Amino acid sequence: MKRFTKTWPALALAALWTILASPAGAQVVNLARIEPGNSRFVTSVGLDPAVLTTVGYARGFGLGSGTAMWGLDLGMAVAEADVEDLRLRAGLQTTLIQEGGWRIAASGRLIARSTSNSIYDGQGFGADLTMLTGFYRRGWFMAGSVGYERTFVMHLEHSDWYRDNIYADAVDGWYSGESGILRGALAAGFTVGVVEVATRVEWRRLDGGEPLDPPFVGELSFSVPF
Amino acid sequence: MSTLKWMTSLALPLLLVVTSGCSGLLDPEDPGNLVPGTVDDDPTLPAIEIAGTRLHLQTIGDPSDPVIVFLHGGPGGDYRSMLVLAESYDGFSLADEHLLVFWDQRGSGLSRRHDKESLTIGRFVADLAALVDRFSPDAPVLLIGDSWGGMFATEFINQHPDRVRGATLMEPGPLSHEFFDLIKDDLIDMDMGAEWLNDWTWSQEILSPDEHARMDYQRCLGLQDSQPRFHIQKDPAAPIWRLGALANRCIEDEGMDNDGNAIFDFTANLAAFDTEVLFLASGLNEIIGRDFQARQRAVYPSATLEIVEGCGHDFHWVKPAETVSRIRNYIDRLNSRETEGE
Repeated sequence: MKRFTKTWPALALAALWTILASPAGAQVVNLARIEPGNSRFVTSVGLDPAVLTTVGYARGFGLGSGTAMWGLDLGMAVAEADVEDLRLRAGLQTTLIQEGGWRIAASGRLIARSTSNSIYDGQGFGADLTMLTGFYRRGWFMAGSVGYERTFVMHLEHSDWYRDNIYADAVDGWYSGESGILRGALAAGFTVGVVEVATRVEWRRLDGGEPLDPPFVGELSFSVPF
Repeated sequence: MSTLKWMTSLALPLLLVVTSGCSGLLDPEDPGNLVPGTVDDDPTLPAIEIAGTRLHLQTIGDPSDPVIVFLHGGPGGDYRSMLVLAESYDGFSLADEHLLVFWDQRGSGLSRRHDKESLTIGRFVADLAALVDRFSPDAPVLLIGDSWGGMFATEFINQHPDRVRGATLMEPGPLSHEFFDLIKDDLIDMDMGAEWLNDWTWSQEILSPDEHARMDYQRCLGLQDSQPRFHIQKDPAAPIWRLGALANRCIEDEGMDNDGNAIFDFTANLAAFDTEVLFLASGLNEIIGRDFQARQRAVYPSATLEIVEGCGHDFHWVKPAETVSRIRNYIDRLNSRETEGE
């Protein structure tokens, strides 16, 4: 119960951002099928970077002469149903340039994560920006993207185990985020009936050049418009 | 909704968060926040300047006595849990007749942090050679190595057999690529559903591990659960001060080629060392316990294997009295042989 009381403030803050920003963005969707007023349910499973399953909602809207999409998704690490490892993302994705089937798009998301592990309970708050380019038809698409994510602030509370066995004087509190994560990804998808199926493979590395484990992540997603 | 409103609604909370980062937040890299400071941060820690680095080091015993140098596990661990071997059991302490030298290896524990280029097996061996020169310039030393420390001791003997009087290897990891290949699939629980592994990967998204304090801190994830078949005691666990994550990675990487195949060999010149070496193994470790050490001891011309029953890889912590007793008996055998040889 103690852990839940620390997780909920993180989620509440993320939800507040969601309301403030009205953003969102599932990147693995077919931009050619986004229309103003069109809503969709999105779910995915993958290694991102823990074994993760997500559920989300996205909705298209008119932006200038084009169409954009906002949405949010909630992810949970599913190893042993670890309900304390959560991610809430809310963002906006819009096409910047379109020439026939080719598009260049951008997305921005606010991201809140929580975790509880053997050495600390933590919540991190950050954002990412991604540029995408790809070829989109209504029945299929292929795209590539590069992005940058940064955690701006995090709250850490060290576990009793860590204090008892390693470092008793560790300091709990709000910490500044120090580094960002660079991401490059390839995605492709196709439509079967009303269901859009897409997959994404992503390479990632810290912006200082240090590797992450694992260096590659990926997901399989399903999107159903309604 | 207008574009301006969208941009504003997205930018405002971001601005708030970024601005808040400029004041009042703790810095994860500041000494003492996530992990204790090193000898470069805390002048009260016992330390020695040697071989171009600054090592966390303490001695126990009479400096005029023969020297025992302790080599902790890891790579990247520290000597905190090995201090139990300096205590007195049944009226006897190893410090009664020896100068005990405990130290954290380069980039490990509370010793100075270095960049990748300075974290090589060659530098580790040079550090140990410098310590032997400093504390026992006229006589070879006894080495007691735990886990990685046993591998390190073997590599030192491999390069400097004349500077070692004897060695106790406490369940050493693989001494060459051939032994590594025997256990490589069982060393770490890499089950995709393992909670520790998911905690490890997930944590990196919150606390990016690219500076020493954050790397060392996150390295503690998995200490309890990543090697379940080693049967280490969880509570109370063998204590540590601070791990050296970069040292761990650099030394492990040096032993591998670009395809991830082990290429290291610490055994090539061990034929030159005909003194008895004591291998200690735990009764419960399923991976590098008694069976594995029975194979490994064959790399030495003369080696004895003894088993500490009823515990796992951290047997020196769980059963220090028995461990010290076995080391004492080994030293007695060395003394007898040296007396006979005179």
